[in-house]
This record gives sequence, C-alpha cells and structure tokens, in this order.
Amino acid sequence: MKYLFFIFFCGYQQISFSQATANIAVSLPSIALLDIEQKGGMINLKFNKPSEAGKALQNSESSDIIWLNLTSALRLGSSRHVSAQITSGRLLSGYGIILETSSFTGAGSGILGNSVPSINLSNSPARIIDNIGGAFTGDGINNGYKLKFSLIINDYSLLKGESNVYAILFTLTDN
Amino acid sequence: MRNFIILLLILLSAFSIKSQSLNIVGSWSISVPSSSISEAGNDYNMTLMSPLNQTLLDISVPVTNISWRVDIHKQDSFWNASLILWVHKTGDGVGALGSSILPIGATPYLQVSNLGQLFFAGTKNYVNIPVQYEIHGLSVLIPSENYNMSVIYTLIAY
Repeated sequence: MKYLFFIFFCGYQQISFSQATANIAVSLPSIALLDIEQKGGMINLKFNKPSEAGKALQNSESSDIIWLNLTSALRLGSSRHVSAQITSGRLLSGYGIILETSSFTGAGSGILGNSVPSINLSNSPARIIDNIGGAFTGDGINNGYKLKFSLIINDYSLLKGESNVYAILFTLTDN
Repeated sequence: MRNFIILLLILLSAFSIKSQSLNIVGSWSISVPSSSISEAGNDYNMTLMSPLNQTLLDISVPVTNISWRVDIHKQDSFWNASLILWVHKTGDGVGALGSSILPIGATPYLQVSNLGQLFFAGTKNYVNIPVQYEIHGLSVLIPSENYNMSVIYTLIAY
C-alpha cells in the first residue's frame, strides 16, 4: 500500500497541465448586389402589323434575353426582395409593358426567393422576387432569373404611331 | 517520518504544477469587407488568413519535467459550423540551450475541433513560438453576424 501511495504521487508529479486561451472573432458584412446580364442592352418591343385588315395587332415579346444576377448576405432572420419600376418616361395610355420573371436557374445556392411570374410595369415599384435570404445566383447569363418583356394593348382607341424609350430600374431592398 | 515524506511529496507535486506555465499573446479579430465581392451573382472566393505570428506562445517547464506537448481545441461562443478554423505553427521561436521542438519549423495546417488534439511537442523552455490561423468556408449563405470562439492551448509537461 505504501508503494502504491508513493507511485501515485510520483505519477501525479510527472504530468502537469497549464492552459491559455486566444480569442478568434470574425465579422461578416451585409451585402446586397444586383446586376443584369447582358449589360447595357436596349430591349426593343413593338406591335406587329396584322397580316390582314380587321385582325388585331400582335403583341411583341422581347427577343433579347436578360438575366438578373444577385448576391445577398444579411442578418439571421431577415429577408429582401427585388422590385422593378419605370424610372424614365411615363407609359402612354393605350398599352402596357408586362415583365415576366422566371424561377431561379443556374449555378447559385442559398435562399433564392420566390419570383412573381408576371407584373404590369409602372412608375411605382412592384415586387418581382420576394423572400430572398443569404444567396448567390451565379454570374452571367443562364444564372439567376430570366426576364422577358412584352407589350399589351389596354385600349385600341388611345394607341398612336410613335416610339418611346423607357428606363427600368431593378432594386434589391431589405424587407 | 512517514508524514514528513508525504508532506514532502505533496510539496514537490505542488511545486511541479506551479513551475510550468503556458503564456500566449495575440487574439485575432477580423472584419470581412463588403467589397470582398465585386460582382453580383458571386459568392466569396477567399480564405481568411491571419498574420504569420498572430499568436505567440511561451512555454516554461520545470527542470524535473522537461518534456512537454501542446494540445489544441476550440470552444464556440457564437460560431457558425460552416466556418472552419485551421491553425499552424509557422516557426520555432527561441528555445533554451539543449531544447528541441517537433515538428521543426512550420507545421501543416491542423483543423481545430472541439476535441483536444496534439499540436506540437518539445523539451525545455521556449518563447515566441508563432502561430497563424486560417478560416475556410466563408459564404454569403452564412448570416451576417459577429462570430467568436476561443482557441484553447493546453501545455502538458511530463
């Protein structure tokens, strides 16, 4: 027993501990980036002439494909949306511009939100993608949300033969 | 006589515990700039890296216990599991006469977990052993918050 006691103390003495701590802190920022691809392009819309007298004008769809790319980093429990509005030029009576937004496709990941399939563009912002969380769509065409524009006739009696240019603003905003 | 020997052993034990120490200088705090992503659609494409000598360790052991090892583990205060901490020794610091350290020089990166694991080992006293940190797994999918954890170094002298 004496020997065991001695061995215990020798062992106790042989191994000893000491600890020290370093603190690591990382701060991640809020990020909201929005972009359209292809950049700087003009979208041309027009009413096509009917092939025969008495028929209605045919609505034109945009042949240019536009993709909306975004990156969103935000605090836990918060969300964002993308809205669209006409900021330059006022729509004349008689016709409107329809914006269709596809669901997400591409190389991105995260909480990519829910797209609103179709809205009638105006000078007031309208949501086209809602409930976006921390997410990225991937960059360039074929990534994100595909946008398609088309014309719609509201009142034939108000249509005039003219050309107009409109600027459309897309905004990524906190909810 | 028996009581005297017991008392002596206790005193020796206490002396042994108190006479070895691990001191460190240098915590690490980093703010990721929002400009880290310049193009919409992209995620972070970066690893957070501290300076080579972010933390300096001083090791002091008694003459009776010259061999030692340093284990490392972490404790999460407020952390996201996607952020992975790696650590490595970038040099040997300055050792006492006849000291040794293994591995010598820079070590490979070691992923720090919540369980203790061997970091490096040696004999006799050392000062200014430099340590560098890296954080992998940065993504916009991780909520934008202030995260912090503790890295705990344990000196075991034997």
